[in-house]
Amino acid sequence: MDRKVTNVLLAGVGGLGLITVSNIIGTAAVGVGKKVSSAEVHGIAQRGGSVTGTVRIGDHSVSPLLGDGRADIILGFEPIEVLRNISKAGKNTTVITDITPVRVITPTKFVYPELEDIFAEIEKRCARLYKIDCLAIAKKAGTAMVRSSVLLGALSEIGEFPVSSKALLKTMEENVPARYKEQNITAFKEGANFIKAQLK
Amino acid sequence: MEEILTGKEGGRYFLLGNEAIVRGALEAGVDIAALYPGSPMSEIGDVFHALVKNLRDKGEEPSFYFEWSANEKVSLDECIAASLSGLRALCPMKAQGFNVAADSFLDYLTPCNLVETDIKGGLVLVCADDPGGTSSVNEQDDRYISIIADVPMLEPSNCQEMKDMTVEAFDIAEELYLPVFLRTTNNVNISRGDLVFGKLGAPRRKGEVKGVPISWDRTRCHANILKKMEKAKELSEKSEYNRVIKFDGEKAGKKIGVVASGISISYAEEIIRELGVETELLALGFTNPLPEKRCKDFIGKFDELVIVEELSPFLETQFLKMAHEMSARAKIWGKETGHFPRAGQYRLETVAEPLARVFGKDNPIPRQKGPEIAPAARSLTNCPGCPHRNTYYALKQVVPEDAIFANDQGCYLLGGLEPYKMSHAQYSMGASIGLACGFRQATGKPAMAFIGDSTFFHNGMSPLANAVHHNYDITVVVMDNGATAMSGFQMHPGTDRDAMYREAIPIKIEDVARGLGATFVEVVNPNNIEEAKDVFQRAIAHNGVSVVVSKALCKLMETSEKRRQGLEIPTYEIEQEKCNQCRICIDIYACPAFYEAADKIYIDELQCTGCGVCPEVCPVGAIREKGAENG
Repeated sequence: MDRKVTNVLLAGVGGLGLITVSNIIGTAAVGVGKKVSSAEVHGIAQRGGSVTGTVRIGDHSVSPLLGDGRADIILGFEPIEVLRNISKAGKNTTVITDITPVRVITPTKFVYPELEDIFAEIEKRCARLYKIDCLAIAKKAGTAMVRSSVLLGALSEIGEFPVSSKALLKTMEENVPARYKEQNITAFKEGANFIKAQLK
Repeated sequence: MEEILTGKEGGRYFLLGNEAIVRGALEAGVDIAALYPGSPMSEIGDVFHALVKNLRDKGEEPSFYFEWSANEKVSLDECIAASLSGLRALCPMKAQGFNVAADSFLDYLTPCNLVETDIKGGLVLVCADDPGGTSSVNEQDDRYISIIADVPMLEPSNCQEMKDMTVEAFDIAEELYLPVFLRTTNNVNISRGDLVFGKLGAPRRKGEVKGVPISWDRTRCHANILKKMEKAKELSEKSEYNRVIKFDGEKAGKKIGVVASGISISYAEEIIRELGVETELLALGFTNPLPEKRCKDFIGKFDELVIVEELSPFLETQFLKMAHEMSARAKIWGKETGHFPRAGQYRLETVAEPLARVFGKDNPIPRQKGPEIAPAARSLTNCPGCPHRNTYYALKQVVPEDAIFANDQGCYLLGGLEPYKMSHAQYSMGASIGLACGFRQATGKPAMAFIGDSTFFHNGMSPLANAVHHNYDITVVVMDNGATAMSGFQMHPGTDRDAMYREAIPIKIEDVARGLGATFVEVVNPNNIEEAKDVFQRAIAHNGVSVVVSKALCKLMETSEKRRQGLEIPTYEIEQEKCNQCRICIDIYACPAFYEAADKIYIDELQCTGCGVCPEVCPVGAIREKGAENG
């Protein structure tokens, strides 16, 4: 039996669509016959608190949790949240992250670090880092609400992902509200194009 | 979500553990499900509720009855009655919810258990523990309840088992006529996984009560339950959920075996594969009563045993006892030997390190260091635009300096944190009012209770009656945001619909307070801070119990409703030339839409919910609606 498992770690804050993206990846993977385990970790705050999720895809069952250094892909919905979870990255990890910070960390009087410093440290701890301005792309697609679909589109094109771009897109279409469907599709495709251009 | 009802037998689906329980209940032909929501099991109710809505939208009548009950004791009493009437009933609750229901659960068993022939309705109690206490006040290990109550217990380790064991639990309950305890933990409740569906069951729908199933001979009833548990042990010995998993790999000098239950089975399995050692794992899913014979056979095979389980040494103690009874040579490594912690939720690393040590291998998942730039924790705080913040902001300006605050269980308990710090105690549902009375009596200082609408209906009314009756001089602030917001906006006795989407009678908290005899009862919208300050001031000055219902809809609910209707949501901004850096907005009012960068304060437009309260908070009028500069 093939023991290879693809481990995705999602890191962000509440309200950015992380759980939805995690569900889409898992549903799409089950749809193509894979075994999937997925966990979500969040506090009691509904919005604005740190949230992480895992999706583990393979041909056999594994636990829903992910050990340190074991993420193949980190999908970042917010830069400092990627940094917070950087212990999950290893030397072969691909990080794809939105560059838009959620600066608010009240009421600790905390000033958000410089983005360049955050990215420099992430880069040191992984194999490759793709930074995407998901917010700008989403706004161009029609609404900031579809930011997370840019990341999903990007993920679909990084290569060696066990679920095809087509299957991810189809599952996404089936799982987003009808009134934002077109905007989500545009955002997904823009994310995919971004990675394709980088890989050229 | 719809697939939970429409999914095909034999089809594979990707579900949340809590959703899998609902599918299991439907496959078992559940007649009634009732619960009070609470993490990590709220979604069980949310799914039943959504299924009702889907069916009603299609003009169909649900085959089951679902209820958001006022508290866990009420939900359990209804489920017990359904069971006594021959129907199948599912009663899910969080660990701390069980404490509320414990009275009924532990008390009903003995008097009701002599009648065995006519009543055959399975009762399954789902008890969701929360190791780590991410969304609970403690790390209670409810496996011991199965021993105290003498009921069979099943512990699922993944999504498939969440469904399958729910079905099995109903069958066992009816075979033994004992309620079955389905004990879950957060990492199976809110994990997702793939699972294969079985066939939907047919509910019985109409119950009947025959005879009077009450006996006053407690001793005989107790003995009867113990007899049933002997039969349960036979079921446990035969159960496919108690199984040995064999692993090929490197042989160790001595024979080492591993024992695990629940979610820990998946952790142990994964680490054993990583270690690449030859061993056997006794995976236990039917954990009360334990299959003694099979456990002893397993103990007898090994020189050393490692017990992997979250929280208390529930298995470990019983394995030590069994090993002692059989004078086994096996050493048992676990919590008693310091290999595993008793506190905290397990991570893979928690299991990897001790297992590697016992097997004499390198730790396959060593902990890695964190980042060099320390990312400050995002503090727990109420959402941007939350009316609770406005209640606290208004209160903070008028409460006496020596006032003592008793808080309760809901989003508003975050008012106990920085910067409001308005909680001297908070722990269980409805405790705030009794606490305020106690603080008043003990210290003679002004005492206030903060409680939410759902919590008030859950367990706040008896303590209010007590406070009024004894004429305590306390102020009770009921923060009414129209829902059980923290666990996901569920309905409660104050809402105008019920879980079946029927018209319900909405009970007004101010009417309850007046009915209970409180002499000062007022309702105020906290989003109007000056008005709220005035009401609070008068309430505090009032001699006797004063009740203020601080009423405004949960901002998350309001915002999502506006989005659904396609309405514009405004955002606000700071006019930097007017701002004098007084920091009231960010440090004292502390809405998390404010942030600081390069010594200036800004409003994050993506966080702002456009509630429009902060312009009132700013003393120099530097906050305006975005776009307002153009007219």
